[in-house]
Amino acid sequence: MMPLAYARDGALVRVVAIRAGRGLYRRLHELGIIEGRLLRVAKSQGPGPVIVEVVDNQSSGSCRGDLHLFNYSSVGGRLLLGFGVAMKIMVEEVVHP
Amino acid sequence: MTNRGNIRVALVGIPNVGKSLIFNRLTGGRAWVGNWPGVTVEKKVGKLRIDESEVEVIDLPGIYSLTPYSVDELIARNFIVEERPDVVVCIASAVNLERSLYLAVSLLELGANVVLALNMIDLAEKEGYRIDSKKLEKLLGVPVVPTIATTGYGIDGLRNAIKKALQEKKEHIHIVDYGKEVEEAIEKIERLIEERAPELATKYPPRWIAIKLLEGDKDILDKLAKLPNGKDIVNQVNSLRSDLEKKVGDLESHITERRYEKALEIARAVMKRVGVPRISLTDAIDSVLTHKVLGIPFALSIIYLLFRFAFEASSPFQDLIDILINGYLHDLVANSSILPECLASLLADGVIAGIGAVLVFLPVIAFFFLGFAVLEDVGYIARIAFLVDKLFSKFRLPGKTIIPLIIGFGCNVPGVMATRTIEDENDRKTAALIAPLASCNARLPVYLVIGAAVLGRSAGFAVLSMYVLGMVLALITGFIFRRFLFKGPSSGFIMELPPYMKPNLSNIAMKTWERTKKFLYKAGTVIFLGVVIVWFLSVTGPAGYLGPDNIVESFAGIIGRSLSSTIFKPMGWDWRASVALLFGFIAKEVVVGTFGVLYGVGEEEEEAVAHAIAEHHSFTPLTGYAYMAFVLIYIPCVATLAAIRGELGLKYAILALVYEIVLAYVVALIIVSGGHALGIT
Amino acid sequence: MAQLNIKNIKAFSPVILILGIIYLVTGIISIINWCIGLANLSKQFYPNLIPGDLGFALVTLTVGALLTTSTYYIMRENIVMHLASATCGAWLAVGALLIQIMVAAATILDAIIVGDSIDYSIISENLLRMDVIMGCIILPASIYYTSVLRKMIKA
Repeated sequence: MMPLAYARDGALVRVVAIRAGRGLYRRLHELGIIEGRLLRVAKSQGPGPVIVEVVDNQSSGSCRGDLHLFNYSSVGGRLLLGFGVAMKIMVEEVVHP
Repeated sequence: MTNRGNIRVALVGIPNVGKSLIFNRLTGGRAWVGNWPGVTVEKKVGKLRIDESEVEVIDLPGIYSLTPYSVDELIARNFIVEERPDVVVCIASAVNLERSLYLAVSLLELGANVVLALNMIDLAEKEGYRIDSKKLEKLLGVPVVPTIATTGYGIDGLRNAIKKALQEKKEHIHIVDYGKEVEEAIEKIERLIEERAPELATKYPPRWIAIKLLEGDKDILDKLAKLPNGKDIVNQVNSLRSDLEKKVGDLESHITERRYEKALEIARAVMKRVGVPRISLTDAIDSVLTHKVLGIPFALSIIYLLFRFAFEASSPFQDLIDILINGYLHDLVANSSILPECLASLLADGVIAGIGAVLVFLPVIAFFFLGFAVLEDVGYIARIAFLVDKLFSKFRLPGKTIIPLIIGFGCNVPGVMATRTIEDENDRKTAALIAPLASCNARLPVYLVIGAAVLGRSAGFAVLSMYVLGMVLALITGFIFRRFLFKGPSSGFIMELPPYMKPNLSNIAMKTWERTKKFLYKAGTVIFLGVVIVWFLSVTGPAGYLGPDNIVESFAGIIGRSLSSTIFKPMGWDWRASVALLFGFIAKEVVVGTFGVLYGVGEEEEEAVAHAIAEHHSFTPLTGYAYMAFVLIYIPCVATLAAIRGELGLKYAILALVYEIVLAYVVALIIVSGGHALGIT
Repeated sequence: MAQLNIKNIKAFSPVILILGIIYLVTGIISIINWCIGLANLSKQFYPNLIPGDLGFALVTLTVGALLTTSTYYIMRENIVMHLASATCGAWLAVGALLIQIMVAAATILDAIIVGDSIDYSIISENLLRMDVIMGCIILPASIYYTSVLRKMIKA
């Protein structure tokens, strides 16, 4: 388990805990960052701010050659989370087959 | 459709869904902008024609939900609940369906008469999926109209849907199932409200009230407490809440989660993958543009090109305005035989010269905002915020703070106003206070003139250093304010990164005009008043009216001389420089013009002014550089002060004034003394 | 189809590398020129072709860095990053080209308005610059790369 700020570029992570005050907690929830949700880390300046995408829970993975594509559907827009915020979201990496 | 006075349609939606464009399409550009009462949030109202009647369209702020936590959300919520618009058009984005539907669901629970516009279906298609709008309509229980705002597709359909909704309201208040225990509690509270607080029940849907009470919504709690049986009901609700929380945990999170899951469920049910999943173009480009190493030089290059575009490509327009106003118009009035000398001087040397000095910058500012709007529309500005976030967080500021600073490079006034987009209140106040430190366009002529006069080849470098100095000071003072004045944990920097998109012409035109307009307004009002005062002070003295050629004896000259022999003595600035600073308070564009007048060379000739300065040895390279720094930092111009007052209140506007004068003085002093200590003269 | 594209791209990448190196060298010379200008030591190297201007240096060095980095990526078999890097570099170069053309047009317009004489020197001063020349050369490459990137991604 680690703060989202330390997640790898391109990693698929699951939100384990959100250690934030009321206002931030609620905002994150509304944007889809909820405990148990899967996030795809589009960009990480590790450690630093991250760009994530909330990913549909029904995801299956498959790697294809050098393009490393994943069969998942993203139902939302990309979110940019500042360094401070990313430090408050605890995640664990989901190992893909 | 009955003709009962004003029929009103509200537009609501999460940010970046194309709401403004749809607003424009519906109202055909017939709109005006004001403020929501009591706050500094913009209110846009327009007119839409349906059959024979004219309907009012109100653009509500972009929001993610209807909590009472932010000003924007409260405005939207209160408008829908209190003003009861006849139709609420919720604009959803097909490429951000989940979040759009979260808002839609919240609206449905409110009992609003919703019509959903499903925008950006073309973008969704490009990303490889299609949305079944008929199915969405069934699941939501309200009409759904697919639209493509950039082409106008679906706008007619939307108009028809609004018309139908005006005649026939559809409701779907009970759209989310919160689980057995919570639903039972909701029912209990509903009955309670209907029996013992019927006034509230007629105003808002009882179920909505119940849900809000369980969420602990402060606004509703307050309203309830004011009623006769209010406190009693609140107590009962509270005991229900604590019971529930033992079973399901934190109620507010539980409710929000369930609501979100519903939105997700609906989104999943209506989205169909038609293309093969792939890496998006946006991700590929982002991997370069947000790269730790490559991203920053790219961003700096883009900003450099933006500046070149703004300053160099606009020069013919600058010259045009210069010749027309400072040339023809000025001479026409100055040499007019009809007007008395006094009035002619007021108009020619005061008003026209002063405003002319400012209007010459209009093309630069317009071009700057145009370029900025293109970058913004494409989506690149968000990436810049990402790149600087790590640096800014070291100063306890969100990366988003850089946006008002960049806009401020054009003109501080829209820069200060741009701080509204920062959600956290403490961050926003800090940003508004440091925004004037961005070296705006108006200060550039001062740098150029002094640079040309006394700095020779290092001039270009010196000018660049001013911009850098401004940024550095902004970061440092920002840190100090955030840490000691606007204390509090940051509610964090969260920003939605839109996918890269082709820029849309009407969007860009709209944004450019909105920002340029603020500059024009400043020129037309504040500066107009200011130049009249300046003129007056410079042509009258204790001996009475002196005419334009005797500034040394005028009030302005007297003030200048006393300033230069007292506070400005250590810096070695003469009376002319001091007078120019005084007048620069109105608008910094006036500083060079003032030099022109004081040296008697006419304002248009920057070279002539530089020449005169060099000849009179008014500055040494060291004192000249210190002067540049002083002009950079000292007090925001009057218009910017007014903007700060608008955003933060009078107290902070005064604070801005004071801290900047002090900081400017200290920095100038450091430069001069430091230079002397190092043996430079 | 995707395979064919990859072959083409790999074949084309040396060209990108060369263009990148030219941009880097231009940028370095620009910085040297700037230093010379500052200290006023001697004559600058082709001051009109390569202005001793920090901003010019910044842009050309960035373009050069992006183009050469893209070669690094293709050697690592990372096609997507190679394409992205090359495309971004090419587009930045084209952007610089466009801005310079606009500035040239503005200068000419300026001269007309103010009443100065227009002669060939305006054109040569403003357009005979490395960023313009190289920008024109790289323009077809940028278009090609963008379309390849788009197709590759839709595949």
